[in-house]
Amino acid sequence: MSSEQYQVPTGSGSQAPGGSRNFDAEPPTAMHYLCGDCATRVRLEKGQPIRCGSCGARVLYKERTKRMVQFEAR
Amino acid sequence: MKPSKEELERRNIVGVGAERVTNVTSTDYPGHFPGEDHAWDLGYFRDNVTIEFHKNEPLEAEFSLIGVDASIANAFRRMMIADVPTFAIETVHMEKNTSVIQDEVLSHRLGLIPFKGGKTGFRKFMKFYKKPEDGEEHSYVDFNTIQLSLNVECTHNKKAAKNETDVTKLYNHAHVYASDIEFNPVGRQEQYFSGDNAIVPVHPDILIAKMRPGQQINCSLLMHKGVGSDHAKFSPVATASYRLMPTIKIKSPILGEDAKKFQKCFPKGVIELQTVTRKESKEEGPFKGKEGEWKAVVVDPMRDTVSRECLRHDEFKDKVELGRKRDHFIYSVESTGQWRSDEIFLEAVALFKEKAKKFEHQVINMAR
Amino acid sequence: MIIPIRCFSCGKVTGDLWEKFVRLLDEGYSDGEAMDKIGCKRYCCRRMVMTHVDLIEKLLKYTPTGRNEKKLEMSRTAGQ
Repeated sequence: MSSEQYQVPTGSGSQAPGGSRNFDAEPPTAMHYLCGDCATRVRLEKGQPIRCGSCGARVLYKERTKRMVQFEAR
Repeated sequence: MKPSKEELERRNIVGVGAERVTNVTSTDYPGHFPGEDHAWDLGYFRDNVTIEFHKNEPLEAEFSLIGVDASIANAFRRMMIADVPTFAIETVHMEKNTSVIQDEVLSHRLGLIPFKGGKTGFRKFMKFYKKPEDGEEHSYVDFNTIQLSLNVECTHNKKAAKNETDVTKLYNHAHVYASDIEFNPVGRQEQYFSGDNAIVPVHPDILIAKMRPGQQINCSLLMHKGVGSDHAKFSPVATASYRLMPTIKIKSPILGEDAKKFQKCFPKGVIELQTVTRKESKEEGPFKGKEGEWKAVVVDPMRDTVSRECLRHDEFKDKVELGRKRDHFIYSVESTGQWRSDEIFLEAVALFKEKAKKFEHQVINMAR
Repeated sequence: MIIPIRCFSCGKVTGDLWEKFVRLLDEGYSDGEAMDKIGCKRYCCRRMVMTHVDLIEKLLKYTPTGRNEKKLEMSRTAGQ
């Protein structure tokens, strides 16, 4: 898993959380998922069949959020 | 008129019967006994208070505090549990956590780990962190927040033998320990918490999580000073408790086989079997003509658990009197490691003094 | 699931005791002796290690490599 190549598909990362996204400027074309079988990262364009490119599995998982999450240690 | 020594001793003992406790309330207050002045007196108090250590190890102490009222003794116990401050992780900023331990659970586990650091820095430099009110910004500064981070990733260990089955050798970082947490000093923390004074977990081997290759934990942790009344993770003690000193009074001698049976009614070391000496057997009294027989002697009543087993046997019922000394408190303090266990008691006494001073102010204001 | 960091009742740290406990059991100690040896003297702390089931070991098998192993095992048993 190389996270350096990864770019947040929807707008820039510095966007304020909760702020409205500018959909017209840069429409999201591709998303990354995790294959449920072989755990490779799968890039999917809009309208592409839901399928892992390397093993053909049809179960794909959403990735964890890139945002920092705060918890109280209680 | 002063009461006799026997009378004072009688007043000072809580009677323990087979099914009831007698003489429960203390009576050393002004106006309780006609003609006796029991007003609190500093000189008398100073002469009568004693502290005696039975065991003093870094993580466990046992000591007697003799000559104070139960309310004071209890105040010390409560302050050791709830008012002596320590460090603990309060906030976790989770950047990545692909381990099987959920974020919330991991945060909670991190919060419970006890940390130690330089004592002067802890006492003098570090202040309590004040939670921001609604709408206020956080104010994390070097004297109220300590930054730590936990960054571990589990990978395959290329050097491992092919048929290796031990996961800790097969993978790197398969087990995440408290020692993997790094301390990142900010500002003046460098001068207070460096070298031997660095902030480290008390127990480096605490297992925080287990992982498999590909899993990763990245988080930054914020630690504050806090007290046990806020959350138990801040409490410096595992247990802090006291019991009253047991007394065992053998009213008429217990001899022969009875003595052996009597000894078995108590924990080991409380009762000793001694032989009746020639001298005792020649004198008038209960031992006359019993030379060489076993007799039961109380040697260490402190070890007694006051199980009252001996009162269940008819042969001992009227021969023995159990009780507890009202003003003799045997504390047992077990530290979680941030403080030495005897320090915790001293800290509690210091805090008690501070609170008493604050209270004095208020009483003076009230009286004005 | 994974050994609790502290005893639920008294707050003694138990998070570092599980691995020592298991090691002592492997060496042939009885569980009572092992608990005495790692310093669990109260019954509240003793139940923490004694009744713990390390279920995380099962969850850790749900990884891609674990899945492959399971698949291989299944194909082996299917061939018999």
